Amino acid sequence: MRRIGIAPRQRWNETVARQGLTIHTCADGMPYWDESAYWEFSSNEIDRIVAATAEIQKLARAAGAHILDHNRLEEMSIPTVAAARIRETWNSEPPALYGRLDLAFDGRQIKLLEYNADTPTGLVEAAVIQWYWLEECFPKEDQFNSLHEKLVDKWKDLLPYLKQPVYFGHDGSEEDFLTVNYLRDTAQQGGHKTVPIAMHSVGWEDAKARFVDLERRPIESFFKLYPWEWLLGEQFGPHALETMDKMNWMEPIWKMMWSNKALLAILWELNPNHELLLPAYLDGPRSLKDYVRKPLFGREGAGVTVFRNWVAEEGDGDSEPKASDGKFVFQKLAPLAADGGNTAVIGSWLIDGEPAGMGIRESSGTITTNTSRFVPHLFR
Amino acid sequence: MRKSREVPLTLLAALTQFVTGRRDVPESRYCVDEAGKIVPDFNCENSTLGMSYHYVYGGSSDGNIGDVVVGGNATSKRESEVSRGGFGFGSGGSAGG
Repeated sequence: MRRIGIAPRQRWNETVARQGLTIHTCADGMPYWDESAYWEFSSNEIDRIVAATAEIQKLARAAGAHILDHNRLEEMSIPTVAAARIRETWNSEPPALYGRLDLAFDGRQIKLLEYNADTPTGLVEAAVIQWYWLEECFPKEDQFNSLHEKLVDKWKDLLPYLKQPVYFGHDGSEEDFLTVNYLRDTAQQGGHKTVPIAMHSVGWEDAKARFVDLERRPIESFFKLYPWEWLLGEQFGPHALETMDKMNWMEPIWKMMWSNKALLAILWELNPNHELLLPAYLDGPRSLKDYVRKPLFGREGAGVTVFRNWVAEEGDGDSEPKASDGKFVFQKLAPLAADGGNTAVIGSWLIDGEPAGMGIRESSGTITTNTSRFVPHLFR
Repeated sequence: MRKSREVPLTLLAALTQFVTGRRDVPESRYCVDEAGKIVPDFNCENSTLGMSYHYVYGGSSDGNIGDVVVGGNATSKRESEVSRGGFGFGSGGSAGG
């Protein structure tokens, strides 16, 4: 793999905005969508990423069963009130759509950094924008990217299981809004009727014990780009648990087990020295001297701190997410692909549990944050 | 590996036109009397007066006291009780990642 600098397209920002990526530039004026370079892979390297993604998914399935069989939810700071519903949905397998593994890959070894299993974003740029970039700039080359087709196919598969319409809830940044609406788009192409709704607009009708939309229609199928640990901590959280047997929530609540970073320590415990995993512990760094401390709950690098020689060197440990409950996972620092001061993390997407494509985020440091640049890729 | 067909986008492309300034339109609710004329909300909220007044959800009106509400759904206060705002307060960070 190598990073190759190129001249961006003329008026690239207008092009990507027209294609759906309105957040192409960060607040400081630096590009978020960065096509001043691309990452080139060999076909063999892509095969390795695909195989690693599928293998880690297998390990995660086994870890999920282990967590429930050995009652380890409390250890992961998952609220005990959610335990029964997590167990039920794990067994009944209600519809689940997607997830993203963040991988370190330096051209030699691939290592799992974390699993964004509940509310992954960055899908528009991975599925759509970099594909159009490839078609325009390198039409003869290839890209690990079948996200769009797999999403539409998955929605078609879900038609018999989801009552219509499917509601799409969000309540965050413009990035979240774009991700939700891209998923709505794929759902509609898969044959579903969809309705967007802000999370704060979701209504609770007490007399009928059900969630309703702004027109008082019952919400029975609900994709939410909103983490379960937030949902459960809010006023309607108990209602979500009470009514789960008559409503499809996507992603399902059992994804709390995979989106929780304690999963990393449990994976290592169950598969010590696995070539795709990094040493990770819940009780401290143990013998690690270069490691990353991550809150059990959190996204976009929030609360993550990098330690080298046991000294905190990078990160914002002070902005610890509330839901982390003061608990962390301590994971060995992984070697990242680096070039010219840029470090790259691969986001490897799964649709319906299958590898489906990837996106690359670049940072100046080690931690991927919400301002880390998205850089397209191709393979030859 | 390679995609075999186009990536048709309909909804996303249309939505990006409206990405700024997007908001859900709150549902209208009026307290009306038996003739369908808008009265102050306290008439519907006060149980001693409630027999003669009710809420109408949706419907068309200029929204002024005394205006008639056309259309909408009239239900008793008890049946129509819906609370909102129970989700959406977040945790100070990004919901996605």
